[in-house]
Amino acid sequence: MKSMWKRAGMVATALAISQPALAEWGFNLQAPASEVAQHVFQLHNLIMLVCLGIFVVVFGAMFYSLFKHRKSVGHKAAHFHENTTVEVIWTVIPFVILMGMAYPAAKVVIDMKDTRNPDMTVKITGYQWKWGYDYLNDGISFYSNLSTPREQINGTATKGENYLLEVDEPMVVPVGKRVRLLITANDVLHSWWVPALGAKQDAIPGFIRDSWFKADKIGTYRGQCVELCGKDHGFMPIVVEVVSEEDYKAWVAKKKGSAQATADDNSKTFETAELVERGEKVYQANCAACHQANGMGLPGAFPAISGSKVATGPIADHVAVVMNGRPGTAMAAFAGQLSDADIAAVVTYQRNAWDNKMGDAAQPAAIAAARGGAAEAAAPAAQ
Amino acid sequence: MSDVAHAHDDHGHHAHPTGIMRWLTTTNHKDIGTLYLFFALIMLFAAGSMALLIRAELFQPGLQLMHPDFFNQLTTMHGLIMIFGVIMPAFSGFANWQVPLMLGAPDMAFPRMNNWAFWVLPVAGLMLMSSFLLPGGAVAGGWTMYPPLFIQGGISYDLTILAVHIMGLSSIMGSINIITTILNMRAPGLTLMKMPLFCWTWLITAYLLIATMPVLAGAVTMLLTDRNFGTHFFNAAGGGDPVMFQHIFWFFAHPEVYILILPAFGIVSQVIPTFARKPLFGYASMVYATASIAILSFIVWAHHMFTVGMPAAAQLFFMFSTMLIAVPTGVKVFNWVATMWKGSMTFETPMLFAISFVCLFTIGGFSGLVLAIAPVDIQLHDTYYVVAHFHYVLVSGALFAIFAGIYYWMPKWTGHMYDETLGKWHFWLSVIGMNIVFFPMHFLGLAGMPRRIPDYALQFTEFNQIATVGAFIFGFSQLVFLVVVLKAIKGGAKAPARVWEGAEGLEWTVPSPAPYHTFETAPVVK
Amino acid sequence: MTDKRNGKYRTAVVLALFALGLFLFTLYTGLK
Repeated sequence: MKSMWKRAGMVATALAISQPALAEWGFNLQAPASEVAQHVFQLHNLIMLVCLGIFVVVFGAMFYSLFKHRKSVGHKAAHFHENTTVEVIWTVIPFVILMGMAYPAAKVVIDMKDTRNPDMTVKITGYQWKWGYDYLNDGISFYSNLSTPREQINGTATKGENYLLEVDEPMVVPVGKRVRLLITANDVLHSWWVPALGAKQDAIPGFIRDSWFKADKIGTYRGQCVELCGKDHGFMPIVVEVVSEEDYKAWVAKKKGSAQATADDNSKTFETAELVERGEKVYQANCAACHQANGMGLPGAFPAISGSKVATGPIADHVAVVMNGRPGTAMAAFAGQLSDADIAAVVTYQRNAWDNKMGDAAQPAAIAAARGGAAEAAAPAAQ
Repeated sequence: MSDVAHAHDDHGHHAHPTGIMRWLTTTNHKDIGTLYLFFALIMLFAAGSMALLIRAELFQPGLQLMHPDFFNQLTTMHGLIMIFGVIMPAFSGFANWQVPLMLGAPDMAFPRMNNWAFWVLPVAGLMLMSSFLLPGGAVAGGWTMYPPLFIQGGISYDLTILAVHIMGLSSIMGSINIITTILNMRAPGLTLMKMPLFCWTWLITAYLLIATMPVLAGAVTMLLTDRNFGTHFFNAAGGGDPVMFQHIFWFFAHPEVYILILPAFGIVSQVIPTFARKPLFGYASMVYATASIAILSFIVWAHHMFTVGMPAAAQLFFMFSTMLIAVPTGVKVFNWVATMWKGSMTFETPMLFAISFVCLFTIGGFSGLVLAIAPVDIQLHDTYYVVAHFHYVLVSGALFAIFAGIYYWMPKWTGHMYDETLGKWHFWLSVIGMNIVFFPMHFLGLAGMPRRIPDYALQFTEFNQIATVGAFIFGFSQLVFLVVVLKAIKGGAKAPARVWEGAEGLEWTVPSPAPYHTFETAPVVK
Repeated sequence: MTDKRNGKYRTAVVLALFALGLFLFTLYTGLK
């Protein structure tokens, strides 16, 4: 009698929680957008049911005992203290249950590890604190930074719908295509994860590890870095836009165009005011996290730029610090991460903002010269 | 030392220091047990306050109270101090007080080393706490200390490595003491299969400590040399591998989590039979199950690393071995329930904590089983689901067992019954508070909230708010515990030798409070 | 002293040597 209710309850629960719609309430895994994510979703439901069943049986018995076998209702203690048969049974039954779970689980493990026959490959690099994407088949590369404005984080502006889960340049892929991911890192461990696609892989500096996903439906899927990587670990999200084949091709073409535009930029001569305006944007996206929007830094941790010796000293030295970083500290080398025009802009901005009134400017050509003989393209560089 | 039998409390013929010198130089297992327990209590409030700061920042999306770097310092130090400064010293305190009493031994095997093993701990604790004030702040790389991030940090990282070495040495010295005491100093007639399960769990824990602490020491030494002496164990550019650290670390740290729970199993196995007035069900199986868990704990470590990119065969091996640990653990849970079954139960505070241990630890065990399934772990690794899992096994597991043990044995130690009403308040506030904090975290992890982030996307708001409210309830209810403990030390109803009606074991044959020296002549056990 | 007869120093030395050896072995594995 009791077991019939238990079975009915289990079926009901299964029906209820297998609805991905419930995922919107935030109780279960996110609604799957790939077959792998779907298999994991179902596997998790199965394990949950098993655990729930065992819990109900075992603690049903325990709570029954707590009520019935109390001294205060006069129950006298029995004296048994062993029973080999019973012990064998409750060792073997869990073992069998586990074997039942192990088989479907093993199939999904093997599937998740099978990165053969991709339709396209994207190399993903984790940085402190952004992602870089290299489309190896299409020859485009770009960085992807958190685009939530600092004011929303500090509470001086209302938070947008995709607070902390939005980027300036999403990763775009065509629907229904097997995408192989080659994942690495530039500095410390990171981890790339998009829950709805069911793909997570640690990004290890000096090593490349692969993973894959195939998105079933067009849509926008958001994830985050999931390996502690320092200060802004919580501020380097991932956005994957799954689009139709045609939209994907159009996007690739546009990206190639803007890469050309960047290259053209690097041979222009800019007005100081243009550089300052552009430089402020570059500063907000790349520098403000540590050096703060007001240029005052964080005493003890990150130096101020306003009034600093570097920003008010020889411009060539200032450029060198931005390009080469300061090894042994969190100040990264931005030569490989920013274009000539962007570096010129941000240096110009820093020298003419806040308390700094140097009046001078850097031009992209000077940055290109400072790069020296080695032709380092302004593209994501992996270790 | 003369053979003259000492009268119970009279030490006129060799002067015992009093005051601070007493505590600094004591070689008495009861004093040292008390020192460990007080140290753990102080650290509990220190690390607990850090948790409240963390939860306060996480009450709402946005950064309200602190910079992200300080948040990372708090999460790291909260973990390090709770593990090495609270749970492990508390269990060592229990071992010191109870093992000699339960075995009919006059003291631990090496009383002077016992003193050293304790006193290095406050030094290490001071190093950790003071690191907040050093340039760059405290360690912020997670208690797991993964390189290369750990290589980037400032001077407090080196100080923390030193503190870890010191705490490791303390554990190793303590374990040598415990193993030697148990193997070499049992009263005549007290065979290994007759000794209380608490002693068995500590014997096995001590072996685990000796087998793993040196490995941790090796791992953090390599971090130290990578940071300061130009080695590149974990630096790919120099031919090293960051993942190697993870392997070495988790080879230590997985058995470490069993170190954190086995003594709890032991305590609960003493408390439940007492208040059920019925012997522990399946004593021999409990011993074998504990030993199996310990042995299996050495072959599961990479289940903490399912996302590093290991081959499928390795994922499968570690998944299967991890699932296997559920079997002996389940046996223990069933045996505790079978001990209660058809007993004659009363529900004093120790029993309340022990019963909630059985139920809530099992919930933690289930979330552990979910995480053992590698494909599911891919979605849950480094999310709040893991945070929920380990807090269920460590808070409602280890910590609640510690509470159970304190309430259970404190009348023996102090000679006074604690205030049962206050004890029950402490219990109910704790168990309700704890569940409010940590149950929603399962949902947060499933929904996709990562660990170790100071700010989060809007859809995670409600459950975070619930968790924060629960945290403050749980945190402040520990003040009730503090009152109970201090009150019981100062006074209370006189406790008899056999404090609890159903209590069995040698410790209940000595008066309460236990005399300073006990069992100077070994009892004979039939 | 019965302690010498109950073998406690031998037990302790064995355990300590094991711990030391394991520490050195861990460093050695790192070097490979």
